[in-house]
Amino acid sequence: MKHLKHPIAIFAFLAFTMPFVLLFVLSIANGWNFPKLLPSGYSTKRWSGLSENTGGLLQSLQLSCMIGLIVATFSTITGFTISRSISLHSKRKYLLFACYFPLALSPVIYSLLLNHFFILFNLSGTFIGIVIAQLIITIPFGILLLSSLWNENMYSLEQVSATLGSNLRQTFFRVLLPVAMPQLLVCFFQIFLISWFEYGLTTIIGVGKVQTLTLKVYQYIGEANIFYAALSSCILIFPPAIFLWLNKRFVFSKFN
Amino acid sequence: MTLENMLFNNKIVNRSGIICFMLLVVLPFAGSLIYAILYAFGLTGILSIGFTTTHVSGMLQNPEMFFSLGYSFYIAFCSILLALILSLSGVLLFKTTISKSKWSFFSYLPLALPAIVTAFVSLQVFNKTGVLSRVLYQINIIKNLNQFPDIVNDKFGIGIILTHVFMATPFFLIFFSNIYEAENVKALSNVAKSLGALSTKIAKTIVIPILLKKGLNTILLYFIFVFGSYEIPLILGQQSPQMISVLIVRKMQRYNLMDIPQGYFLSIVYLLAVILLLAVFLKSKNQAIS
Repeated sequence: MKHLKHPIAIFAFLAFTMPFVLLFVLSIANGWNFPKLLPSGYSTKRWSGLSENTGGLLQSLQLSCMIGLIVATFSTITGFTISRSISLHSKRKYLLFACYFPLALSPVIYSLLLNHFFILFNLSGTFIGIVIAQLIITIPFGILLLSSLWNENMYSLEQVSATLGSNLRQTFFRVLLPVAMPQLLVCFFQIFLISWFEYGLTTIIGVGKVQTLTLKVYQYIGEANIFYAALSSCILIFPPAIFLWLNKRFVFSKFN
Repeated sequence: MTLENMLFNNKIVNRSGIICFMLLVVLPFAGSLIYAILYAFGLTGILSIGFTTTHVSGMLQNPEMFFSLGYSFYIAFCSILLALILSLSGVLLFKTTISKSKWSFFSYLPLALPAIVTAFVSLQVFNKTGVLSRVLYQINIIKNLNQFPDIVNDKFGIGIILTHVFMATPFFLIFFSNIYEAENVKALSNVAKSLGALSTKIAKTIVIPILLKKGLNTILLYFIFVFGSYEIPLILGQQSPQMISVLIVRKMQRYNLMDIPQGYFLSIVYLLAVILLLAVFLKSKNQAIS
């Protein structure tokens, strides 16, 4: 407890929470002229305008949610199954190393290199194109994250289950899946965040037609509309922050 | 069907997993790399004239590429160095309180900020009419806007570095705090202390070497991430020099079609730099395992 009263701890607390406070204040500000420290007035009209889809923000929120959920679900399932196949392969070290390439590359550069193929298959500027492009990055991430699951203990559990007479389906759903659940949840959450925060890849493959929340933020910054940029930023950051708190408070404490 | 056949040697399941891996991971990467090489050497693309090294030699003679690579390296190096200094100092000071106390949620909070939002916040804090200049004006440290230094869109990339430091420090704080606990550093420090070692000596010879050695792979990966970052330099950088990602996008998205092959060549150079860094990463990872 003594650590929490340390001046550096207080400074860190202020620094870490400052972006959230600043963005929320700007999202309800009416004007913010120099040299005033605080806005000249406050109003909730931008927030209430959300329900009327002002500036297409509600639509962008739904779009980002949908892309995030599809990408996270598909990548977690694929990562789980492929990581098992890789763990049994004789060249698993090199296969896992190959997973680092799509992750280490800047998404915007990778998407520029892939863009030709997306145009070729008429996927550029489409919802499905964005999902596929994000999957190309998130599946290797899922594989890497879940590869540590497939250790001797897991194979021993499989063997015990089969020895006791269960078939592959029962072994998968009643033994492997419950054991892997905490890591699958972490994987799902992290991939959802990657998709939710993705900008470079979405802007190149989506050619501005698929307007996710990150694209909205950039659009408003470009227009120097700081109040709407702050509002779209709030919509972008508050759900993950709440999700993070719920995860820390309930999910991880339960599994720990 | 024997147990072995049912589980471990289920070749259909395993092979289809590897085929999916090849299709979803290896093929897009290899395909895009081959296409970039073909485009850079004039073998494909709208203005393809057959094999030529014109675009490559044009780019090699242009100092812009080297400036951009050097600038990206400088930004990544400074950002990681500052973040490491801050996070290691934080762990030395607060130990596992960072990730274990009931207030630890606040150290996780910046992880919920995407790069584009962090860049926007930096812009609102550090620009000429931002929060910082308003505070300095109110307490009479500056009298007018011109007295406030250029922190964003400046040639030294201070705004970019500060934003990366803000993003990386909480990450490394939590990361090192977890290593501190997992490696039982507290017990080792206590032993050293009971043998008469001073706190600074313990930090220098036990705590920091353990944390850095165990975290080397992640530090390297984060370096690669900052090296290729896009959103932050896009918002907080200036026209010249530009970080490598911004320069490549500018070259490949321009209306001048002659710039596109140069953009592809730049991408290949960037890919080679990433492969080199990943090779170092693999080597250090193998050493850590052995």
